[in-house]
Amino acid sequence: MLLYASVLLIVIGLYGLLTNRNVIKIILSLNVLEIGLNIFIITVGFLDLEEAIAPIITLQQRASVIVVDPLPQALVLTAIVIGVGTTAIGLSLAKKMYDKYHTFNLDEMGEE
Amino acid sequence: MSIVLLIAVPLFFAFLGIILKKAAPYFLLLVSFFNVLALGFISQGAIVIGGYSSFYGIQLVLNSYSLIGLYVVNTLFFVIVAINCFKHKKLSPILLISLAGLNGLLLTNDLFNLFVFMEIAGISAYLITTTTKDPKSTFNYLVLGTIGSSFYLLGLIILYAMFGVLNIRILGNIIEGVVTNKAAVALPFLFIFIGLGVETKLLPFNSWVKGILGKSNALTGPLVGAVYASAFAFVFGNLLRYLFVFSESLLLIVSILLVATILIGEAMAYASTKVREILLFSSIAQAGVAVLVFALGYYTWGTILIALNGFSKLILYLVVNIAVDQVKSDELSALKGLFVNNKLIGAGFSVATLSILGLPIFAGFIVKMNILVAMANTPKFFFVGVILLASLIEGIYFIKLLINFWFEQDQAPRVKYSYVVIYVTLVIALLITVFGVYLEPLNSIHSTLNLVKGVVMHG
Amino acid sequence: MSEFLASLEFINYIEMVVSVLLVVLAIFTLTMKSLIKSVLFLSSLSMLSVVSFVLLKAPDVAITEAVIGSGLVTTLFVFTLLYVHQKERDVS
Repeated sequence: MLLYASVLLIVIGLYGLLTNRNVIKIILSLNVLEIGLNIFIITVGFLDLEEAIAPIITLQQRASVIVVDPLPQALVLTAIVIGVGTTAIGLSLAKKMYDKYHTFNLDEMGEE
Repeated sequence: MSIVLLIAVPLFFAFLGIILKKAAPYFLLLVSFFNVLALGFISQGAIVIGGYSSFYGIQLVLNSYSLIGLYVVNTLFFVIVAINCFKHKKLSPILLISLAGLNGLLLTNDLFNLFVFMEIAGISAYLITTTTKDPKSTFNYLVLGTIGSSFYLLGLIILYAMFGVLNIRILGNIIEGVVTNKAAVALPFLFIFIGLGVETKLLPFNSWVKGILGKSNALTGPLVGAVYASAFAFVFGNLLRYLFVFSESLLLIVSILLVATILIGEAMAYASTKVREILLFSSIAQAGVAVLVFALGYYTWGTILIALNGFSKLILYLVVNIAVDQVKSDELSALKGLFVNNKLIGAGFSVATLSILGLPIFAGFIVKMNILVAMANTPKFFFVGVILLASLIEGIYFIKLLINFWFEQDQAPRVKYSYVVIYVTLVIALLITVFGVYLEPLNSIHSTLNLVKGVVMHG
Repeated sequence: MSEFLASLEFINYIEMVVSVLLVVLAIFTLTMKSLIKSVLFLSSLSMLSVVSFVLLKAPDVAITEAVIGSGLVTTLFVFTLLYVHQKERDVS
C-alpha cells in the first residue's frame, strides 16, 4: 500500500515541477518528490512479516531473529541530509532572485 | 600511497579553510598541486573502506582507466585554480570540496557512493555558478540536477531490489551472467541513463547548459565546460563499460537520443552568433560523441577522446571567457580581430579548435580516425556517417570563428592575457601537436587500456 | 482480547489510511494558492512520512526525518517567506 502511495508521491512531485512556475512551489515539489523517493527506498528493504523487527542490536539477542534490510535505511539517512542541502541552496537562490526581480514567478522575471 | 588521500586531503583542507579564512586560497593551490603530484606515486588496486568484504563495503578502484581520468581532472583543475584563485577567495573551500567530489566520482566502485559524490560535486557546482550573478539560471541548473539525481537514485534502488548488490563491477558480472532477458533491467538502466544524462548534457535534459555556460565567467566556464564535463563523461564511460548491458530496444533508444544530441547540438552551434553559445552547443555535441563511442563499445579510444577534448575545451573556454570579461560582450562581431594583438594565444586557440575538428597533424585526428576505422570494421556505417556529418558542420562554424578572430576589422578589441594563460595555452597546444605527429605514446596508452579490459576485479 | 485485536490486522488499516492521507496532503501542498499554507502542508506531509517510516520498521530514519525533514526544512521555508514579507512591507 505504502509502495503505491510513494510512487504516486513521486509522480505528483514531477507533475508539480512541470506545471508550477513559482520558485517556492518548485522547491516544494522537489521536497514532495524526495519524500516519495525516501518511502520508496524504505519499502524496498521492508519484509512484510509479523516477526520481522527493526534492525537494532540489543543486549538480549535472540538466536533466530529476522530483521528488515538495514541498508536502504542507511541510504535514506544520507538522502534526507542531501535533500536538506539542496533545499537550503534553492531557498537562498529564491531569496536572491526576489532581491533582483521582486517576484517569485519565473515567467515574470524575463531576460535581463 | 593510498588512493583515499585523493579524496580525504581536499576534504580536510576544505574544513580547515572554513576556520582559517585567510589561508584558504593558499590551501586550495597547495592541495590541488599536491593531488597532481600524488598521482605519480599512487599504487593501483582496489580498497574497501571500513574493512568489510567488497560485497558490502564501499570499494574504491584505481586502474589505468581511472588514472587517466584523475590525471585529466586534477591537472585541469589545478590550471584553472592557478589562474583564478585570488579572484574568488570566498569560494576556496567550495572548490576544494568539488575537487574531492570529482576525485571520488572517478574512483568509486559503489553505485550509492557514486550518488553521494554526484551530489557533492553538483552542490558545489551550484555554489560556484552563483559567481555569474545570475540566480535564475543557477536555479534552473539546481532543479534539473536534483531531478536527475533523483532519477539516478530510483534506478539504483530498483537494481538493489533486483540483485541485492551495489558494487558496480559485481553487479555488472551478475547481470551479464545471470540475467537472460536483458529487457528486464532496461527500466533501471534508463533511469540511471537519464540521471547521468543531465550532468553530461545529453539532449532532452540539458536546458540548464545555456544559462550556465552562456553566461559564464573565467572560473565557471572552464570548470563546468571542461572539468565537470570530462569527469562526468568518464563516469558515464565507467558505467557503460562495467555495468550497462544493453538490450536491443534500449540500445536503439539510447543511440537515437545520442545521435539527436550530436546533430541538434551542431546545428544550434552553427546557427548561433554568440561566441560562448557556439562553444557550449559544440560541447553538447562533443559529449554526445563521447558517450556514443562508449555506448558502442570502443572504450579505449573513447577514453583518449574525452581526455583530449577536456584539454582542448580548457583552452577554448579560458580564452573566450577572459576576452568576454574584458570586452563585456560575446557577440561574434564585437570580438572580431581578437587575435591580431594576441598572436600566441591565437596560435594555441587555433591548434585546439583544429584538433577538436580532427584535422591531420593534431592529436584529435589520430583519435577520430581510429574511432571511425573501428566503427567501419564492425559495420556501423550509420554512426560513421553521423560523426562525419557532425565534423563537417563543426568545420564550417569553427573555421568561420577562426577567420573572424584572426582577420582585422576597423578596430580590434584590446584584450590582455596574463602570462600564466599564455603559457598554459601554448604548452597544451604544443602537446596536442606533438601527440598528433609522434604516435608512440597514444598507442601505448591504448594498449595498456586494452590490457585492463580483460581484468575482472576480485569480488 | 489481544488476540482478537491482532486478528483484525490493525496495521494494515493504519497503512491504508496513511497512504491515502500522504497522497491527499501532497496534492494539497501543490495546489494551495497561499505559499505559507503550502509550506505547512509540506510539514504535515513530512510528519506523516515519519509515521510511515515507523510502520515500515525504520525508527532511525523516522527520527531523522522528524527532526530534519519536518523541523529544519519548514523553518527554512518560513524564514524565506518572512524575509520576503518584511521586504514587501518595507517597499510599501
